[in-house]
Amino acid sequence: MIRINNLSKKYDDKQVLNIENLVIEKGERFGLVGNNGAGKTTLFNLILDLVKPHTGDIYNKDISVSESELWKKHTSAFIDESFLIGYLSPEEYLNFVAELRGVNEEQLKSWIH
Amino acid sequence: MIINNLLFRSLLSPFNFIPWLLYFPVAVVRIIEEGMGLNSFVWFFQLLFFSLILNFLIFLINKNTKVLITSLALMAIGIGIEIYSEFSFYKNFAKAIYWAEQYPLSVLIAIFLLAISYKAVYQFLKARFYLDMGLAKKPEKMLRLGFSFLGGYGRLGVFLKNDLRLLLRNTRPKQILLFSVMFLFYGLVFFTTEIYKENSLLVIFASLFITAGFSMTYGQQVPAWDSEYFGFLMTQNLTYREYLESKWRLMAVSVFLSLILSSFYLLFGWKIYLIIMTTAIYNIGVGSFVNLYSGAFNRVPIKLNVKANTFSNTKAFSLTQLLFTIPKLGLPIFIFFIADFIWGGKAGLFSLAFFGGLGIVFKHYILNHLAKIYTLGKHKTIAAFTKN
Repeated sequence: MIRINNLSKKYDDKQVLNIENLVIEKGERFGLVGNNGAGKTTLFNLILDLVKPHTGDIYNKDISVSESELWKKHTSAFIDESFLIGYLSPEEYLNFVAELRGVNEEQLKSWIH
Repeated sequence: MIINNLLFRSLLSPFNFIPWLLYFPVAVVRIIEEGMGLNSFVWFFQLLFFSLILNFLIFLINKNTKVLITSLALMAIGIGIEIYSEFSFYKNFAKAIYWAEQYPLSVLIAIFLLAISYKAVYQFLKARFYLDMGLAKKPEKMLRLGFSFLGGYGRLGVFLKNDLRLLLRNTRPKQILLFSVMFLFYGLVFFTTEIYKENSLLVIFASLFITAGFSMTYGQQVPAWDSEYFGFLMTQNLTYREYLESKWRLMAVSVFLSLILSSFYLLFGWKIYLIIMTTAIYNIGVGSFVNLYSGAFNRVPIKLNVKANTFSNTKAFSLTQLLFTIPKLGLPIFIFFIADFIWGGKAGLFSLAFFGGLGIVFKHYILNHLAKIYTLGKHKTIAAFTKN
């Protein structure tokens, strides 16, 4: 479950995001739609603690994403920017991500094929 | 205008500061021993200008096959003459330098040669300069090596495997490896000369570099090596603590390997090698952590496949990193000097080994603390890497 309280983000003086309350339940399929610059990527970056919020808190399974790294154990994400490692082959890249999650090469192969 | 700008920036390249590592300690010793005489400064600037001339010459060698072949042929002839004839380039070069420092105006000769080499590179670039040259892309090759031997190291093995791939598959890290090998021979400059060999501070200075070549050049650029995908790493199932420990272990292994590779210094006596061993312990237990600490303030991204040469990526040289070289080099010298001054004997060496040992024993505590420092600057680091 992801819980967001009183979240806002400003770049310089420009407010790009303002969410009073949002709860995404476990297993829920959640679609986020908006125009360019509406703050979709910013919200994902905030949930992944890649940017610092101006105000508010984000909890991932009741873990504050800005105060602990434990949420990483049960979170997977892929954002379009800077998410590929150029010097790894696709196979090595997938292995790297899988190994970080404790999945071995054989298991990964069985998932892919 | 663009070419002039490129050439000027090339003079500020960090690689042109490497010769300083050779001249600077010797210049300091000369000034201490001979006073602030004009000769010492003339000598220093002569050599500095020669290193800048080499900067342009190496560029031509890199880019022009004819210059490369001519240089190799001249080198071969030179080595042949050196070995098989009475004439010695080394001795005559030394005489020329000695003559030059007696006549301060001779510095004009070095400036003149620098101007000629500058003009040569300028003409070379001008003849080949076109604005869309950056668009051409060479087909990429990938070095495939198995790192299954790291499988037994658990999660740290996963990071080490990736770091080794990073080092072996990208242009910029390969340069670091090359420099690390060159640093192995740094001691030869000092240990082969009696006057320097007897100066304990210079011997310590040289010994520190022999095993710290990699950890210094690589460590101070952590986490910038991963800047191209740093956001991705920060969302994966790894903590800053694990990330830093993998980097530290890589540096520790590099120091250990350098120590083994530098065993040829035993030819200069076991005392010299003992000093190298002592400074290696210091490099693992203190130096590597200082490098990681300085990395926490490094927010200049690195383009992995752009050579850190003259014409690009000069941004990777930050003033912060330059300032950190003072404690990096000064701290061990200071520890040695103080202990040696107070207790004498081998106290200086024992102190270095003692602090190195302390660092290794308390590595968990130090890494935890470093992780906190890195975490505090995490958002700034990601923003800087993404922005660039």
